[in-house]
Amino acid sequence: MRIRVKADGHTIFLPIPSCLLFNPLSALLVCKFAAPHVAALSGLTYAQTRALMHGLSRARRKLRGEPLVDVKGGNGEQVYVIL
Amino acid sequence: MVAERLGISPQAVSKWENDTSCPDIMLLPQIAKLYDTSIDALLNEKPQPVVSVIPAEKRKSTDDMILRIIVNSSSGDVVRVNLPIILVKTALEIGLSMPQVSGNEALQNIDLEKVLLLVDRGLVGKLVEVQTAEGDMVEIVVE
Repeated sequence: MRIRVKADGHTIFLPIPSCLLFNPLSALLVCKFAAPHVAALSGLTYAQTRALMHGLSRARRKLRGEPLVDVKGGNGEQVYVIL
Repeated sequence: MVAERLGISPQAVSKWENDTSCPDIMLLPQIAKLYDTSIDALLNEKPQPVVSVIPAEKRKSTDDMILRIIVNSSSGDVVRVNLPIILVKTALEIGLSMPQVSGNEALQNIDLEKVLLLVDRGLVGKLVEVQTAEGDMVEIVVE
């Protein structure tokens, strides 16, 4: 996964290896620690998190470098998330 | 991956992404083929997709299609979420709702299963267009 943030003339590029994100341990961490604090993920079980990660992993191949999320703020800030 | 497929350096692609340079015109046919689109669509800043029904024999697998959620807010922010249908199906299977998938509350009454049913029947293009009371414009386009 690659996250790119452009704001105030600065660019932050954060490459994260997919193997660090899409693995059973990450799924456990997400459902135990992140999900209770994120409204969109509340109530997500370990099995559901694993299924979602599997879906994201398959989606990565379908997007072929296209951003999953592309945000362009009215003030010129930009955020891209590429799987 | 894009650089490899086009036979150019990753640095060149990086420059395109950062708006510091543009692709060579001779690469446009290859780029259009890579993203399964037309050169016209690449050159138009705001393509206007129309709804159309693809005949069964010409349809590609829904798993290869992408559902694009485009939000133009009244404050000038533009958010584009590109969700492969395969990911939307997974999200539905595990019980996530539209606002959870799209991150936008304006889509809370959109039934994703019905949208996918339309896609299964060959409908592509701009399937949903919602204008909120706050002036935000939300579109769902299937390509």
